[in-house]
Amino acid sequence: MINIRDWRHWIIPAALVLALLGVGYWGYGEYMSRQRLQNRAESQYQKDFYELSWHLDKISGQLAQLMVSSSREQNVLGLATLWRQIFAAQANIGGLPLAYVPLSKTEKFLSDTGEVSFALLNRTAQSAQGLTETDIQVIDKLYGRSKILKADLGELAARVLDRELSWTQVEVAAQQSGRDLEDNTIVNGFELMEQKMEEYPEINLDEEFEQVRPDTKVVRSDQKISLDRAKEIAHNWWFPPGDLHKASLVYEGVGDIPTYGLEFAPQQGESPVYIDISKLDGSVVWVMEPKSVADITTDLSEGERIAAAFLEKHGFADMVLIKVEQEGNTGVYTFVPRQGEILLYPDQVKVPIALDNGEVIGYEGTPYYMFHQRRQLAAPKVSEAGIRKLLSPYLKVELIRPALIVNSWGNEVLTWEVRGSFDEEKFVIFYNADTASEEDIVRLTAPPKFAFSVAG
Amino acid sequence: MDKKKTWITVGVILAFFITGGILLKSGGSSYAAAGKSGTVSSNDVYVLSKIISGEARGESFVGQVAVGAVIVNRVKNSNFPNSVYGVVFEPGAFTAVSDGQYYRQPTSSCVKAARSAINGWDPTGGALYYWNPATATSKWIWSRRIVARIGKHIFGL
Repeated sequence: MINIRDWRHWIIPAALVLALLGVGYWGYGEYMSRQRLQNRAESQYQKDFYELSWHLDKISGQLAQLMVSSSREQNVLGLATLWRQIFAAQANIGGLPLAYVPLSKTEKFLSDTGEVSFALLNRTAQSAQGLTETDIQVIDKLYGRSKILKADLGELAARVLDRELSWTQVEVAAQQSGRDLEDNTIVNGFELMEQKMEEYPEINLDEEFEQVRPDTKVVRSDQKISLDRAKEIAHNWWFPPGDLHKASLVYEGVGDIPTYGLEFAPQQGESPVYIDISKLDGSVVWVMEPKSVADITTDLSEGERIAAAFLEKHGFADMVLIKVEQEGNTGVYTFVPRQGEILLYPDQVKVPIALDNGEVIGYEGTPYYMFHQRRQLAAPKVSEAGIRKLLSPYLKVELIRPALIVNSWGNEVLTWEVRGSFDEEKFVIFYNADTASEEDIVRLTAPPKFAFSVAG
Repeated sequence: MDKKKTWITVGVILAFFITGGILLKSGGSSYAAAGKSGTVSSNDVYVLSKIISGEARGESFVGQVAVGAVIVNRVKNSNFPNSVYGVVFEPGAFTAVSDGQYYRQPTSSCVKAARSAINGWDPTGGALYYWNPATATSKWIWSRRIVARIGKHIFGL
């Protein structure tokens, strides 16, 4: 018979109660900690949301200001301010948990307005005239859209404040329901905005404004080569004759270029080789051989010679090295072809070389495949001497040569390429060969590197 | 009950709670480094390799490069943030970031995949989205135009 007066019989129940209290205390601590984190996340989202609303209001006002201002100088300042505000609004959108609410129309409005303001800024800063009538029309259309966004976002902001709705609730609900959210004020509010924007007519941005993505300009055959033929081509291109690697199809790409994605299984512990072959004419688009690279024994310039020899072997004539990067123990060499003296920057190929044994471990020729062709290029209107006169005295010039590049609007334009440095920063500046305006300036200095550790 | 059994029972129960307590305390350290470690460098490659590792750890190398390429394509697209970390840390965009998988050490295969993706290799031909058909239920993601199917992911525009 259990005698409850005997203290030893209370040990187990006491231990259990203590354990329960302990767990309860821990659980409360965890709950409080979670609340704090949730509040922290919520404050971040709230801040981004209100800033977005505030920036949209400013953007709307700035667009209106551009329409009433008549001086070119004010236009330039106004456009620069508009561009900055768009950038800030985009950063705000990037900080909201909107992965569950596709905001493509709103984001498109911001990127459209950003492109327009950049294009106009470019033009008005360099020319004598201010905004033309057509420009004003486009700004007017953008202004109309900004009014919708501003109104709806303001309303949503009021409701959020009023009903104390929470962004973290949006996140949690989304994660639980697998990304399909129903019946949620914040999400509905944004979706409504999206719908209204869709009802608004598409703005037909002039060719001048629209960032054109260059199509596959080269005319390829209409035929489709067979899978077996593709395997044969890939095998002969990469492996030495008599080699026995076997190919299998991993995927068929239907993106920019219709391709067969092939994998050559490794023999004896090497790595597999992946080769993408174009279905249109059997050209090799790219190759990847992800082998582990040991310590460096080959130096970078030797690697360059190996890469150049590789390209020559595969029929790439007269290629010029434009960039070398060393990542870990691999050297990546970027080459472009030449037409006469003119370097063709859009037609790039990259060749990575493993610097432990000088092996070619890949090939990236998508831009070359998509854009390389014989072009009609007029002689430059501005001479090399003319360009030298324009250069900043602070630039220490290393070389000047003609080059064809793609400008920020996706158009190919003939330029003079100037490579130089200032202090420790290296630059490449491209001057338009007809107008001598600076098309692009690229900073070549590599970002600071740091080492980090890798598992297995 | 006899005394010995009582003490054994008490001992077992206490041991249970004590072990439980220790495990709870040390919760986060299950991601301890194991295996050979190497060093790589550069910020963007680092972030990209971690996200690839979190999202596509078990995929083939091509699948990993494809995931990396989607992120690189987003960086280049004006509708998404303009940096690798901007794209990766967009709230809710990647489950690996939301559930902490991102914070594990990347594998060396993922680092190679990240380097290839940043250098321009793109098995997807320009895709901006990817999803796992077995787990994705959102109607919206399925409305994207499909451009490739690699491993267990579908890639779309």
